[in-house]
Amino acid sequence: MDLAKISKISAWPLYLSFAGVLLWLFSSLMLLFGNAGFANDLAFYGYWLLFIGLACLMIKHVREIL
Amino acid sequence: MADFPSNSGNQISEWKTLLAFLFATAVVIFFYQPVLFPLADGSLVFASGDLTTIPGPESAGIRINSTYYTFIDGERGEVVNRAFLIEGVSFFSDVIGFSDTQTQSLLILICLLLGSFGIYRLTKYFLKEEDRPIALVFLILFYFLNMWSIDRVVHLWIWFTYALFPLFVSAGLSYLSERKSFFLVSYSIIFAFFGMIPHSLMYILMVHLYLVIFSFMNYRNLKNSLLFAFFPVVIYVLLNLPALALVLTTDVTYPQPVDMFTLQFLSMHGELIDVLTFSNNWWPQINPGKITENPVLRFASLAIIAGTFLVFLFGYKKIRPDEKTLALLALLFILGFVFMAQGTNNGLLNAFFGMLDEGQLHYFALLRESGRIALMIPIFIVLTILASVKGPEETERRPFFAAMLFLLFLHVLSSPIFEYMSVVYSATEVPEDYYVLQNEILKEHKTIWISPDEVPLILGAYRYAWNEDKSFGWIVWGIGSSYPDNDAMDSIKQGNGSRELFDALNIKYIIRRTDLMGASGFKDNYSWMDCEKLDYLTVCENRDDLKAFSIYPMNATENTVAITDFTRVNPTLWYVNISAKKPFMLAFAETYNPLWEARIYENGEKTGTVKPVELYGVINGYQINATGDLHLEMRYAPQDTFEATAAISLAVLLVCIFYLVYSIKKGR
Repeated sequence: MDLAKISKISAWPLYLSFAGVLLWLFSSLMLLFGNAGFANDLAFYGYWLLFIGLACLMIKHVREIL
Repeated sequence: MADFPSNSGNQISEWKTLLAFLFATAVVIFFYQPVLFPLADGSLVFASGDLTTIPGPESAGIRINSTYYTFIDGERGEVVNRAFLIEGVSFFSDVIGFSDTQTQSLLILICLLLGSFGIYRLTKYFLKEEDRPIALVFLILFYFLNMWSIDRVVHLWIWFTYALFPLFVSAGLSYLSERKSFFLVSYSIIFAFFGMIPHSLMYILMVHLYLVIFSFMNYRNLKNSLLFAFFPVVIYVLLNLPALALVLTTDVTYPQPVDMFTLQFLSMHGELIDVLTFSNNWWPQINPGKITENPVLRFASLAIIAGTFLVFLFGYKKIRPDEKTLALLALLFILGFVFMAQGTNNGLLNAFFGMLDEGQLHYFALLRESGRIALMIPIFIVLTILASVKGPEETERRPFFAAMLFLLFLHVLSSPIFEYMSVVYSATEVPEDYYVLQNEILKEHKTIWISPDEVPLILGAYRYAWNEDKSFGWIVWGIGSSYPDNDAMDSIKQGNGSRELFDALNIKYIIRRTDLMGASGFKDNYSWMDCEKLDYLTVCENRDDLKAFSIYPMNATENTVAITDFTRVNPTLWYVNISAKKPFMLAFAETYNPLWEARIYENGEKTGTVKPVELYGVINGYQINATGDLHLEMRYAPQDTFEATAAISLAVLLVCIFYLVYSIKKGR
């Protein structure tokens, strides 16, 4: 197994989570400019990116501590 | 994880931390002062919507709606233990010489202080001393001044639980790290007391579940984790035995039936973006535009939540494993609550509810006002920040808290929390009418409250004629004794009740709700009653000779049966003496419930128990076949269980308190 490759793959949950938070931050800016509909769409995609990212981080964390 | 409280730190840092705690708590009290004013002025009363003081125990609404009446053929049912709390306030108020409102204000203040102290303990538990002051200021202000917290004051008992979460969690974490039973007993008592009503129980169970999962994951000690999981539940059961015994021995279920339409209606303002911006209230009691069309409030609110996730991600690689477990779990719980809080706006939830029939939907009645569950999010935001913030570098932590404080500043100043506190929820003076009626209306007769057919709504609520800022509340609950809504009551309220029916049902008073702003279109017109217009209410009195007990039918006694006398001991116990030459039907003018028993005594010996049949579609009727001089005990049977189990609960509470005092004296 290529350990460097695994290490790169294992960083993906963090990237996904970051992407989710960034979408939420963009969404909050959209709210500031009064575009609630678009903000809701961004928040929706951000939510699921965060959910997937954090769920994967939790799985990874559980495997590390056990 | 550090033992709690941390012993490290020099004196100057300790003072800074203490000052930050006092400052933040003082600011919170300043914002909450409109609901604390009654402590200084006893004439003020809570009179807005659900935040309405119930003046006095044994009041009509409590007895009818909250204590003793259970489901009958799916028609009626209420939460049995809520009255215990509400009446508990009244009894406690009598003892200490407070009004009910003053006691509630005192409880708000105590819960604010305890909750604030809980955040202080958590901050000492997690953070280095240099980070504590600014963290404390942000976390205490955020926890109590966010829109969800302010809005939920309207459901005071749920808000008390919310306010206590930080102390609850800190007690739980202290036990998990130190294994001192003092903390487990404290944690269990908070669990038992603040989880009394169903919503609070659901919320506090979720926090408990979070800590139990953390215990299993972090300590991996099955025995200790199981003890932590179940000991508080056992204490909960023992301390709430009277109410739980009623639930088990009678057919009590949750009183609010739900259907798909209700779920959709109560999900109003529950889009994802509303949840993430603290704007998901299906019934805002102010102009909704002040929330949903408030760009600054919505920007700041979502940015605070995003900031919470961001601080975890930035420090992810440097956070200690145990704290990473806490933070990751907290974030997943937040996402779970955001999922639930959308209600039927969430496509997955909507599809799930759509698959259920009405009977199955009833299991989700507690979640019907889905937006309420968002109240769980702030404690998990607090925990995430505390568990994560040591991850980023020191040079990044201060700017983080400064940015969060700035966002909170925007959130507080742009949100309508001032209006909520000072206009919607603040205590007010109420007209003398209510006090006069509370004192003069007799509880052994029945009172029927008649609402108008036409009354204007302001922001979705009826308003009082004497104060249009206050939405219609349950202030009348403290007055007299009444019947619940049913066909016969509807008929009476529509003006179709006969005088004989009034007499048979022991109805002495009708009160027209002319205290509602713009009230018109009352349909009752009982010319044989004496009516008097008070300042705001209109009271009509039935002058006939009324009694709670009569022989049914009323004109068929034939002088063979005579009710010698009767005594009302309390709302669940009456004694009746009867002299009968033939079997007869005894009518008891109390809401029909098969759990009202007639226990027959002859010559001091109990000779039988009779269950009631329904008379007039409203009251209890007993076919008594015994003759001679009879002594009848009319008893609401579950009260026996309630009183017997109350003794057990009291004993357990005393043991717990004794143990806590003993532990403190022994230095824990």
